Amino acid sequence: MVAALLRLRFRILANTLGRNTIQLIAVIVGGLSTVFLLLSGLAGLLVASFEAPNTIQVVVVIGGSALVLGWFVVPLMFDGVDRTLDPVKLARFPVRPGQLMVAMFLVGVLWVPGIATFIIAISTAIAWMSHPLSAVLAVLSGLVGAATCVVGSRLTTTVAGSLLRGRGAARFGVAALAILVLAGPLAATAMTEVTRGGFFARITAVIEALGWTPLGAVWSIPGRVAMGDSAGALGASAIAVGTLVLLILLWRLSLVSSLRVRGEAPARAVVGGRLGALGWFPTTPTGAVAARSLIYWFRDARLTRQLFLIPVLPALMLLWWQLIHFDAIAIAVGPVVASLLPLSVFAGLSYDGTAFAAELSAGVRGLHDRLGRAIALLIIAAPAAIVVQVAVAAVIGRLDDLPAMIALTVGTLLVSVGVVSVSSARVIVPVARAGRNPFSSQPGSATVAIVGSYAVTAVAGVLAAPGGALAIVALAIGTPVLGWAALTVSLVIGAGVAIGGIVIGGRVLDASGPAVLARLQLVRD
Amino acid sequence: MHAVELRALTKRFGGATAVDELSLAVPQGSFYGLVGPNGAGKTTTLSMATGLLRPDAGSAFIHDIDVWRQPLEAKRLIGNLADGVDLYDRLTGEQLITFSGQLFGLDRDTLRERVADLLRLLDLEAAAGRIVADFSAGMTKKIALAAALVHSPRVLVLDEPFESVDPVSAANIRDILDGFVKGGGTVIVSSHSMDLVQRMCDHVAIVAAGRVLVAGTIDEVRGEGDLETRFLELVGGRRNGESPAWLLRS
Repeated sequence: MVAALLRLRFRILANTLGRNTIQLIAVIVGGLSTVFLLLSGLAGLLVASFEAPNTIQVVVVIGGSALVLGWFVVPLMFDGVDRTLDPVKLARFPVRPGQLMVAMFLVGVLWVPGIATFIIAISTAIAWMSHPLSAVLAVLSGLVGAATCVVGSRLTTTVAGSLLRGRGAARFGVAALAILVLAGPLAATAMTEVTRGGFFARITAVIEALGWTPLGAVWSIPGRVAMGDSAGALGASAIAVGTLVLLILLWRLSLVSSLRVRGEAPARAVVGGRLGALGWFPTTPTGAVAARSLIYWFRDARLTRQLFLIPVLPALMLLWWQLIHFDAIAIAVGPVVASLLPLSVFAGLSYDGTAFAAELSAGVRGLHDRLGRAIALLIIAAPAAIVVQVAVAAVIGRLDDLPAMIALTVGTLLVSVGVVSVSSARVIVPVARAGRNPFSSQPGSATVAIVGSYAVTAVAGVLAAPGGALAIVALAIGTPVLGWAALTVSLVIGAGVAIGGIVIGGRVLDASGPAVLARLQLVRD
Repeated sequence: MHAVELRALTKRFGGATAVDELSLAVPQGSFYGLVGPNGAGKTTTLSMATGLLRPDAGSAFIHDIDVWRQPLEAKRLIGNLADGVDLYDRLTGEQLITFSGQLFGLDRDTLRERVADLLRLLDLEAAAGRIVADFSAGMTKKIALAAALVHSPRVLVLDEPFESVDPVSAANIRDILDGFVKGGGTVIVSSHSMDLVQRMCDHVAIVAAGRVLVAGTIDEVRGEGDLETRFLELVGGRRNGESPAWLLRS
């Protein structure tokens, strides 16, 4: 049974890649960059092996914790984890949860990220070369750590997916995950507050704390043995094994519940009369598109998850700033938040899917479509980015520099809106369909998404540079006049790029509408 | 004048020709059935006729307006229920019809009246405030039909409109379509149900392998027998003989 499931998964993978060249290229690019990361990781471990045990411990624990965190979090941010063996699809076959778990685990392992993770995890033994006992232990703890990574990513996608399928629960699901993610850094900050030492003392305290968390415990075992702390090693082992067992139990629980075939929900009578955003905007094509986009930002889990990053990212960056007191990190919060939502829809038509046929059937002009979507985007992103930036200025005590900081934020926002107005008229990437698990995806689509957003970010960066440079000078020198000048320049250039992008994007869409729909139909299944 | 005229429409996907120089003239005020086996090219043809899929060759006219030269003008005349495309199903039923009407620039008062009428006609009043994603397959078809009707088009192009629709709703939909034709509108439906097409339509075209095999009034096409017999005769593909033994054993 497990073998049959694995064959099924690789057959589907081969068929998908054979049919879609872009995805195949993406898989190759993704694979090459993973190999590069793997090689640099191995080199790092080799270099570290010549250092003292407590330095090796810092490298291994930080790297290992980041790896685990990545496996937990990255699938939630990008469309990255493969869900070919979706338990919901397999519900009508006689598959036991145990068999399915083994198959899903192996699928997670037997692909580029999984293989790379196992190699690097076992290779922590290289770092402990000169401590033979620790090196042997590192192989074992590496296996446990890598397994924790894969099981953890399966758990987060299963849980978040089944939570998000019920639309009402979307908010709670993502919020709970966000809190889980934030818990680590919060604990680390609390530790540094307790120690109150210099820079190095702070970092050491962070490592000390990490080594006792579910993220880092498993990686700290060989180091504790090398430094003669056998009681600590036993404690960390207990935490590590306990974490893995707990994750497996939770995963099994969530799988069993989704393997049960659910009947259709009873049809409740819900009378209409509430048009929501569709009642606020003028009844024009532009207004209709804007209202529809606005409703989707809050009702489509694939877009809503981006809204949760608006508070989470600034919180993380401010924690970091708290740790090392480097103002640039805090000031960057505004531009990051401003570009977050536009960049997440750099291939926005992909999220419409074939429903875009409704606009095409109605003969909506490209210009009206682009304008409507840009309006919805600005209604959410502009207040959010400005409020966040003002809050940041207050927290770091630089309210005098507010004009320059707002210049950075507003400039980034407007330029990004202009750039994605063009890119999203043309670029279609495979995404999970509405209502499916928003964290499921096809192999390679994460790479397409990441490469695409890099390109869009680069173009936006160049266009935002004039205003941005002026703002940075203003922040460095601290002259109020310069700050106001930066704000003016950013507003003028930003508005120009936004309007230009909407007009050009509209022309592109007019020319490519039917081709876009054909492509959407191609990536639909 | 023809409501819809297709001239030598051709579409290839990779090596396969889905629609092969297909020509068809649909008289104004007719109720036109399009029938054919699976994969005959019905959906592809209708997509090209309504401006959703660009043909490789040939042209399509709606009331003498070239769909691919003046798409915006042509599309105002068409009410399109496409098969195999999703809806904006995060909207409620009422929101979806309103959205479609707004895309055509209908004003608020007209729209409110029409949305209420359509929800009543299609027995969807009780579900007006529910999200379309939660609808059953039949209800989804009905809400898509409502969205296609809201701007009062002159030509209705309906791809498989009765699929998974219950008998009561199907009868109601037929009444709506009959009324639409009596008022001078033109309806094109594609369907697998010969019976339904024979009872409902006044014209029919049988399509197979991307070509029109025969087209005309129902009486012309079916001749002496019924439509299904004629269809099986033309398209072929009936198998004789019993099912395998293991399938008969129980």
